[in-house]
Amino acid sequence: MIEPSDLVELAPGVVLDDGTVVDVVRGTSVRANESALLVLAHANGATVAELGSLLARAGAPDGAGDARAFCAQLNRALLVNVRVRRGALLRRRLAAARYGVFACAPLRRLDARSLACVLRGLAPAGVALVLLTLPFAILAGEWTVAVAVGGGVVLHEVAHVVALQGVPRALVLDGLRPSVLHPPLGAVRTTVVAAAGPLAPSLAALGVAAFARSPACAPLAAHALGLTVLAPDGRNACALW
Amino acid sequence: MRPLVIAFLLGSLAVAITLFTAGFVLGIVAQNGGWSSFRIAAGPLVFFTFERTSRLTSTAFGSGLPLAAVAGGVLNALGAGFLRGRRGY
Repeated sequence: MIEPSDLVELAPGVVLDDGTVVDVVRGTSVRANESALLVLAHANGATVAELGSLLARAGAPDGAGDARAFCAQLNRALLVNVRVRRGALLRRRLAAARYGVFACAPLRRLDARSLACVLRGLAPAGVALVLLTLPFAILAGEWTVAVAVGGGVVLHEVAHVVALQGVPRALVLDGLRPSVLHPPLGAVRTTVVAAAGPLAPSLAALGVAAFARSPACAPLAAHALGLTVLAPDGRNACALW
Repeated sequence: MRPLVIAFLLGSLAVAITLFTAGFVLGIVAQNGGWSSFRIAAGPLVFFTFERTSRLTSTAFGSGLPLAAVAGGVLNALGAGFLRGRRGY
């Protein structure tokens, strides 16, 4: 859900080079048309409304509408980040909920070159998961289970990033569902990278079960199901994409 | 062939880890809850045994666990085969 007051900026790893949009992380480059170049060249903190004015001045009949649709499309393609103020996002979600609609936050692509960047990017999602599950965990008398839910997701993505050492990568946040973007890899590396994510929390679960004897191992062990073809990681590991 | 072998290995690992951890959690819950001795088995195949004596409790995994892991691997490989066939590989 994108509104005129939202700020638009090029996603990390996306650059404009002589009329071409280059995605350093995916290793792709696409020739862009004039409208796309106009929007992307000014996507450095400008609002959607300002980009709409630019398009209108360039001859677009509905500059504001075009800018909104265009920014939404570029955001889905992970080429631009759209920043929504926290209060505004909550307000929009409440307004949409009145009509029975769940409003999704725009996708966010973050720099994942260093482990610190990845941890910083994953921290909000991890904390949110802990807070969401904490009431149920406290009711069950095992607050550590909530920590394992959030920690497991963080550990999962960190393991993917560590397995991608030396490969361009970016962290993508789709609400509370993080993922890692990277270029196509060789068969063996693909299997290793895909399996590393679910395997790390699963092995941590065995450690927690054996040494701490805590039920917190249950949510960590659930990541093992990500190794099967039921989950995207399992399908990627078996080259079934 | 390679995707099917990987699917078998990863499926076996996934089921083994899941069952092993589930057994541990069950053991912890049984110990804390003061449950009496029990075992989970399918005929002669024992998956899990919890024993409580007057002095201690013990949790043990039986031969059913590796067999269940192999069965999980076979199922995962069958799923991979189905997906491969459907996508025309």
